[in-house]
Amino acid sequence: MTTLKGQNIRVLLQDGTKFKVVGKSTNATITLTGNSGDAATKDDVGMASKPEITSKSWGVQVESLDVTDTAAVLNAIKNLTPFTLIWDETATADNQTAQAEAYARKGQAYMNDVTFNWNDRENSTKQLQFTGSGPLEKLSPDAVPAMEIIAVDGAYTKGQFVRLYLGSDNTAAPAKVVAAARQLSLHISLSLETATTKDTEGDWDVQEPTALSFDISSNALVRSGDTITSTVEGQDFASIEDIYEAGTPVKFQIANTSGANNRTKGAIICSGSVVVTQLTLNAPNRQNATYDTQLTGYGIYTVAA
Amino acid sequence: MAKEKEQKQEQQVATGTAAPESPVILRAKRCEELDQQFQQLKAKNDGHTLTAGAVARNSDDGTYILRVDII
Repeated sequence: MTTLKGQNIRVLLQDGTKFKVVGKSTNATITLTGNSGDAATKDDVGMASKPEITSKSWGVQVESLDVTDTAAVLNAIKNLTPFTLIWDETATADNQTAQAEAYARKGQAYMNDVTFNWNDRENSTKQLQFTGSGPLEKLSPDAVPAMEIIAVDGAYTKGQFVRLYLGSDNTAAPAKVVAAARQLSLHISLSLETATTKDTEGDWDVQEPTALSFDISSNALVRSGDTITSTVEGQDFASIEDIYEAGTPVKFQIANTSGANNRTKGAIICSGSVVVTQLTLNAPNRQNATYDTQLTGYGIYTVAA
Repeated sequence: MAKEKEQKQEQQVATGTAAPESPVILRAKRCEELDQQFQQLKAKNDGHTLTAGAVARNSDDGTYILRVDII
């Protein structure tokens, strides 16, 4: 008997009639939760509690180095419809083919939390979190799901080639990139509420989406004087502070970039409006001063290149 | 199988003989070429919304890759 390795436990999402793995996955966490209530009463002698399982819920988190599907993911979470997903032990020959092993499970889940990270000189990452809605089914060994094997390539996105553009108002398309930026994250959250009722059969919690929100985080170096405005035009701490002081939404774009100073705007990944909700200036001794910008989505984002 | 599908889509983009299936995977040796291909794809699909992912670079052969979904 050998110990199963993590690369052979994979999460597969249904696409049409077939299932395929989340590509370039680096980690997966599957959590089964028993929601309990304390059933200890005055009839019980002593101080101990007696947790009774009253309902069950489940969730899956997947991390991946594939961000080429950013737009598709951003649209998918906006659709407010659950995915059908499975997890299974995959064949060692390709680390993809499902085998309907004993612990393989299938269920419906909402993708309710997504984070993309585009950090300078790092491989970009995404984290997808799914929350189950309804029961988990065992996969029958006689009914291995139809698979689509994805192409394997060595393509990765370096974070310096995806940048945040911020406007100074909520009308014109943003022309200024955040200068001297080092980190960029986009986080989308779909709030879910338990919608289980007495009509619901079984122990499993049923979820329904109730709200969608997004936020953007950026980290950049603090440049001295007029370096940024006089050499390479861009948003810096002072100009973002102006936006913060105005307290009104401004346009943003997250776009692919290339060329000189990685500032030539290519295909736009997403756009919309944001408000500056937090600015943090970090000034550690004998280290570069940096600032963090927290931008909260105003309205819904647009996914159009 | 998936690779064959991608190749078929790329051919369609190149020739413009048929409406491309979505997603379309664009590939180019240089970023500027990739942008050019993307603009051509956009022009050919006037009336549709095109969405783009993050550009990735294949470390094996240096090719830039862009996934475009046509809605």
